[in-house]
Amino acid sequence: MTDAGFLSLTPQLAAAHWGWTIAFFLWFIGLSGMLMALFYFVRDKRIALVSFIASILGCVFVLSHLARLTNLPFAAFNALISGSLNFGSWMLIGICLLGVQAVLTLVATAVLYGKVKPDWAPIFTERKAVPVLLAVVGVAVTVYSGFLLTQASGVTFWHTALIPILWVLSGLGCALAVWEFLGFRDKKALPGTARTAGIVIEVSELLALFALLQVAASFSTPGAKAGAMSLISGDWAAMFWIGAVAAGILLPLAIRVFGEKARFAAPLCAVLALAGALCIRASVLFAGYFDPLV
Amino acid sequence: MTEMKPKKQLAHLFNATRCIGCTACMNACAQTNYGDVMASGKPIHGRVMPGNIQKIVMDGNRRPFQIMSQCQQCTDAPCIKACPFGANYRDPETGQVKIDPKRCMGCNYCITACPYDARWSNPLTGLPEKCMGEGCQKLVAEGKDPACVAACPTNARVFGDILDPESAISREIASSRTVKLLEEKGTLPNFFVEVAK
Amino acid sequence: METRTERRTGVGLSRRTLLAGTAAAAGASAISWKVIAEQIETLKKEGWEANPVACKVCGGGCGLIIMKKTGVKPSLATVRVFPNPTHPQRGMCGRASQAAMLWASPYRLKKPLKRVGARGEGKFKEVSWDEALDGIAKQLKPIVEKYGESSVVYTSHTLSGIQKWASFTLGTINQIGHEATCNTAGNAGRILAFGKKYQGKNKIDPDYDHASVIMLVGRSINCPMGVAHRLVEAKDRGAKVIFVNPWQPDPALGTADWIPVVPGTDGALIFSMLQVMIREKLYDAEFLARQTNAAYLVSSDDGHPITKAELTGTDSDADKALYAMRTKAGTVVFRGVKTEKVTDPATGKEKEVQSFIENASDVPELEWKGELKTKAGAVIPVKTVFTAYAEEASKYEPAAAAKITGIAADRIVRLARLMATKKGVFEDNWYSSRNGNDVELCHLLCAANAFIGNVDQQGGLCVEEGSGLTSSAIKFDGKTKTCTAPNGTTWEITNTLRADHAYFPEAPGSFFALQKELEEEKPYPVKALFVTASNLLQREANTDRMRKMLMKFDLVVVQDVMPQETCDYADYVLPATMFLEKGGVTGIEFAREMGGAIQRNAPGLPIPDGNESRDDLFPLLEVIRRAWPERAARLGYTKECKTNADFRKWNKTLSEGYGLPKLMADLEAKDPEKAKAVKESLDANGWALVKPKAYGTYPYKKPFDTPTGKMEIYAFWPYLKANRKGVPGLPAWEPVKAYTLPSKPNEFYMVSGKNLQGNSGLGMFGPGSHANSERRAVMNPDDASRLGVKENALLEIRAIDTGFTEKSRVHLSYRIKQGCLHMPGFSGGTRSKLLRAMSPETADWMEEGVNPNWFATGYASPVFGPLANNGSVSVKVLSD
Ligand SMILES: Nc1nc2c(c(=O)[nH]1)N[C@H]1C(S)=C(S)[C@@H](COP(=O)(O)OP(=O)(O)OC[C@H]3O[C@@H](n4cnc5c(=O)[nH]c(N)nc54)[C@H](O)[C@@H]3O)O[C@H]1N2
Ligand SMILES: Nc1nc2c(c(=O)[nH]1)N[C@H]1C(S)=C(S)[C@@H](COP(=O)(O)OP(=O)(O)OC[C@H]3O[C@@H](n4cnc5c(=O)[nH]c(N)nc54)[C@H](O)[C@@H]3O)O[C@H]1N2
Ligand code: SF4
Ligand code: SF4
Ligand code: SF4
Ligand code: SF4
Ligand code: SF4
Ligand SMILES: [Mo]
Repeated sequence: MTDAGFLSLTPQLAAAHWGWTIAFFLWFIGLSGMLMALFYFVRDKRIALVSFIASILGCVFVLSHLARLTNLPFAAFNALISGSLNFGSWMLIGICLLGVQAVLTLVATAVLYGKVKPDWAPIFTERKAVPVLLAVVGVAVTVYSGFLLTQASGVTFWHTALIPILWVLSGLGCALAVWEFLGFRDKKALPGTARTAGIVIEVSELLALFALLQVAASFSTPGAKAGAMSLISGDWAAMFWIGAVAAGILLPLAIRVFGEKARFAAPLCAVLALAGALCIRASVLFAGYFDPLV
Repeated sequence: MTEMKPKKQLAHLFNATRCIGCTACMNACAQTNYGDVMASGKPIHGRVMPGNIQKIVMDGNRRPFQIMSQCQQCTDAPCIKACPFGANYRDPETGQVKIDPKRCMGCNYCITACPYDARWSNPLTGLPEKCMGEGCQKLVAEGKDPACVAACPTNARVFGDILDPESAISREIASSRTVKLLEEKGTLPNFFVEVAK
Repeated sequence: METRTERRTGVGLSRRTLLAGTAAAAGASAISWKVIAEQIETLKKEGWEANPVACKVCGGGCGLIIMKKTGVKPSLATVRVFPNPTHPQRGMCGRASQAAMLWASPYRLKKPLKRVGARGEGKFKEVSWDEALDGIAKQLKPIVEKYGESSVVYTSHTLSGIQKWASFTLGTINQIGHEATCNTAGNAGRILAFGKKYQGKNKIDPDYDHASVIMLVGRSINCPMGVAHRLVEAKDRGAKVIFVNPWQPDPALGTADWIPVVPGTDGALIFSMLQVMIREKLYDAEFLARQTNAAYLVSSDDGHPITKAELTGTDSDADKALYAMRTKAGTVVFRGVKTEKVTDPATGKEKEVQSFIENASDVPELEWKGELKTKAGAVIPVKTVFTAYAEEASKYEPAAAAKITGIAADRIVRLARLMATKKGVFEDNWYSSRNGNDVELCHLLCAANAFIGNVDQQGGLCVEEGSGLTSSAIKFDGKTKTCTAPNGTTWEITNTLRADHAYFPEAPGSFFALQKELEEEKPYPVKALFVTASNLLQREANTDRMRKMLMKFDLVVVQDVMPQETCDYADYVLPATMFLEKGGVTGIEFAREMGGAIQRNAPGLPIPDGNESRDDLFPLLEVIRRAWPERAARLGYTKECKTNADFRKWNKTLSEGYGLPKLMADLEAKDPEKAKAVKESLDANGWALVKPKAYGTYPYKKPFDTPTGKMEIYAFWPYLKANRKGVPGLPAWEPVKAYTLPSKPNEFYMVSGKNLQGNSGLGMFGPGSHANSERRAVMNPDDASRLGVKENALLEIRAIDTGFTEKSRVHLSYRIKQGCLHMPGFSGGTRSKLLRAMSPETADWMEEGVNPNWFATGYASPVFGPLANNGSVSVKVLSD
């Protein structure tokens, strides 16, 4: 029973059922997207490979949640012939971007690993244009995965540009984490800038998160407020505070600042950042509530 | 996509001054449109029973009242804007927002997009459901009132074409005070809540 | 629209009521029913079959049509429920519209169950019917041999009539119904004001179709939908609907007035309204003087009515039944009722006719107080009934009443003026088991209509016409202790003192009173119990007491459709067919325009596959047949009917000469044209109007069933027998005695009743009730913020008097008056272990919330024995 007066509102989880599959989807494509961006700075073929795998996994998750998966090709075909493809829909834009992301990362991986056209490798490793393209698409996909939520107009908690910003920041954190893993065995590959970048990202993330809560809790509609409250002290508070904030941001930050010498500092930060990014996505996703009608 | 002007604008009026909250409309909706879902016994996300109406009691207000809410057949419908394949569209004949199963992949994006929480996912077909279901569309095509309107023991519901000034719903709107829900969302809803005669 | 339909049937309402009733209510409502009719017609063309049935999801009997697709196996996809569009009790609520879902419910009992664990543990195993019936018979026989037939008790909600076939056949008087928890006080009020013949909830009702102001004191109109519909029509006409209730019932959420009264103080409110009417001379003096006993004389000392026997007559019964009245001329005259035998010109049969013994030229004096000399020479102080009222009412000047009732003084004044000047009507109540002072309140509510002068007139409190439909039953004559079966067989019952009557001599049914019999075997032991269609643990105030009582029986058999809580305490649970699987012809209750009407029930649904449910009477009789074949033979039941079809065939033999055939034969003799019309309407619409309402009959032309034949605003009935002394003649208000009043900040009144979406019994298990019925305790947000209680917080709730403690989440709502918690019956708090065992995951929701009877004291007021289902509790927050 919905009740306007006391904020026991319908969660989107109950109606649309955007649950863990969507959380993982958002996480994987954010990871993939920001790895594409990172590739511009770190021209490591393994980054391309991980980005490609993450993009595919993201697609698998999003597809697996479709209630009419088998109708997807027909739906696309029918939309095409009836001219009803809706480019105003973030979902459609997203589908296109996901396609581009998968293809670009696949090509990059294949070339860099010498499977096809090995002679194209310098385009990826030496030049600027293609890596820039990769980076732009990567950021776009990540941003898209945030705007996907903002267009869900039933859920006002998501109606803020802070979500794409958060997605980009935490995606970046994930990308950095992957780099830290890769660099752990290969010390040269991981310069001190990674640590600085990590600190900057984590602090920004923290700011963005608090901004999100602040905006939702103080200015927005009851649905947004309910979302914020469910993160601050409600149903998703544990996942948010322990998973997203403490484990995902504060702890790595502390390790970076105070414990950088420790042997496992980098991989530990990486694991925490990855888990934290998932928790951020899941908790923000689950904290979506419909506004009351009156 | 939503600019065109339909020939009719079929709409519901819910009369909050008459409704006694008996929920007959909800069950009538279920049995007229979703008998197969009920017979299957499959659970539905977010609803106990299949159906397009939600009962909302505003009893946190000093003057409590209740609303039976359903799809508002928005003129500027967020669910239409959200759908990648245009599976949600406004019927040029009736002005109602419809779903074309052929173009739907069941992503549920329209469900989160609807500010009225009017949609739910059919566990048998994977389609997003909302008012009007197939059973009611058939009734309306035959010139009859939809199930919820007919079932109401207190005649708290009126259905018809608001573009026709002679229709029962137009006359009811003209002779009473009605409000619309969540107008601030800019959806241009076509669902009227009568709050005073 | 209505007009047309009813004329077509040829048994239309009287012209006068027709015009008055429909002119105003045209418009929207007529359209909707037409639409339903069209839907049904279309479905018929598409191969669906339309079957009429009276809804039995709650007690309202609204007219439904069950649509069933022919040629396919019925399922939720091929069965639909509609309101019967022409029915005089038309409408269908959410509880009824889930009837098919209940029929197909996965929770349904399917096979007989035998207890294998301890009583109350809810452990059962499935057994065959044979094993169950043999087992019960084998246990029952020695109980009867040792303790006598009267040690066997039957109880039910709606199927008392069915049970009586078995109880009498077995030889026990102990069929004790549910009334104490439901309508006893209302029935008592009607007995006192109108007489025993009119005690039924729908024998007397407001004429909603013409009423101007309708005041519903503790009546929700969650049922029946026909009345809800008529109230909406009334509002369309400009009538005002006022709910007096600590809780704002659902129908009051639209345009109706809500007067949030302090629980248990309604009597003070009504007296205060009477005080305003008396002070401002707004009452109908003519009606009071002529049609009620307002001018009759009662003793100022002990209140007894003054009779001719006392003043001038003999001690004969005749003179004891002549009551003293003072005339304006200053004389004392005596009035009464006489009965004569006359021949009915239409049928040629002899019948009894009653009339008043009175001289029309005597002008009654309403207000008088003085002394009279008895024939023994004593001088006794006396006053008129009206004066007694005026004296009582004077204690409740609005300012004083405001303090008691929580209703502002000026509002009381306005309400009184409105009711009197607009000739409003006070609803006489149905469910009325609230605070232990309910008998007085229900009597007072009837009496208040007399002050307005609005009785048996259009828009007033009216006698509903009967349909004349008779039902067959075993006749019991208390004087000779003899039972007579329809086939003429007679036998005697040894013990004719009904167990509850030992403590509540006029109880319509006070099952809880068996506590004494169970604990002390006084006045005699009871050992075996048959529960048919009743959930005692949700039904009876003080659940703990009922649990303990159930533990004490040697044998408990529960017949039900669902695995409800009482099943846990049964030795055998027998699955029963539900109303969509049965049939017959019944009278229509609450018919529009107060007419007498009948209806056919032929819902036509089969019992779902794999379900072995039997009609309730079958096992009841079969057990008797197996234990004592000769007793079952009293009804001609001599061999087991192996199937429902066989049993129904045999069952028909019981009602030969009754019911529809008898009614039709009588009509045929009296008015063949009408008989034809009734038959046609029954066939075409599933119902027929037999008798339109004749307004202005009672008591204008025909006496009521009271000692004076008048409408008694002061009851003389209690003075006829010594054991009725606990019931006062004047229905004075007294503060609640049933429970300690809340006094500390965390103490609350517990206010019970039903909510619209929840439902007794069957409906409680329905998906609609699951989705929409509030199961939690409901608290006012202002109380909540005072106590720091948040929405949906978990509370520990403790009954102030019994100490019983349970947990519930709380919902905050301005629909409940401050200082009260609302707890609807039959919504939450299920503790059925059987249900748990059968549906481990899906039954969670039924355990949420509260069963208000946990916290009720179980207090019953004397003589009639109505229970008080309200109570008082303290709360403590356990967690947010
Ligand atoms: N939804 C639903 N409908 C039903 C049933 C059901 O179980 N559920 N059962 C059927 C049966 S068996 C019956 S008897 C009828 C009864 O129908 P009604 O006679 O209308 O009884 P309730 O609906 O219980 O309403 C009783 C009202 O009394 C109020 N009340 C409690 N205490 C006080 C008090 O001290 N003063 C006043 N003024 N009011 C008080 C309660 O808040 C409640 O709203 O309903 C039938 N219809
Ligand atoms: N606190 C509180 N207590 C109340 C009330 C209240 O408002 N508040 N209301 C009171 C009132 S008014 C009443 S009438 C009582 C009612 O209380 P109960 O006597 O318990 O009556 P129901 O709940 O109608 O029905 C009980 C059972 O009958 C079963 N049943 C339905 N149809 C059939 C059938 O055809 N055959 C068989 N064998 N079983 C069937 C249902 O499954 C259900 O379990 O409760 C009273 N108790
Ligand atoms: S109410 Fe919701 S589903 Fe209906 S048209 Fe508007 S946005 Fe779409
Ligand atoms: S669920 Fe179907 S109709 Fe809704 S947005 Fe997705 S594709 Fe469009
Ligand atoms: S019009 Fe039909 S589909 Fe829509 S709410 Fe009413 S019954 Fe349901
Ligand atoms: S059927 Fe009518 S009265 Fe009942 S809940 Fe629906 S709108 Fe309200
Ligand atoms: S009020 Fe509802 S449940 Fe009760 S008899 Fe009428 S339709 Fe059936
Ligand atoms: Mo009842």
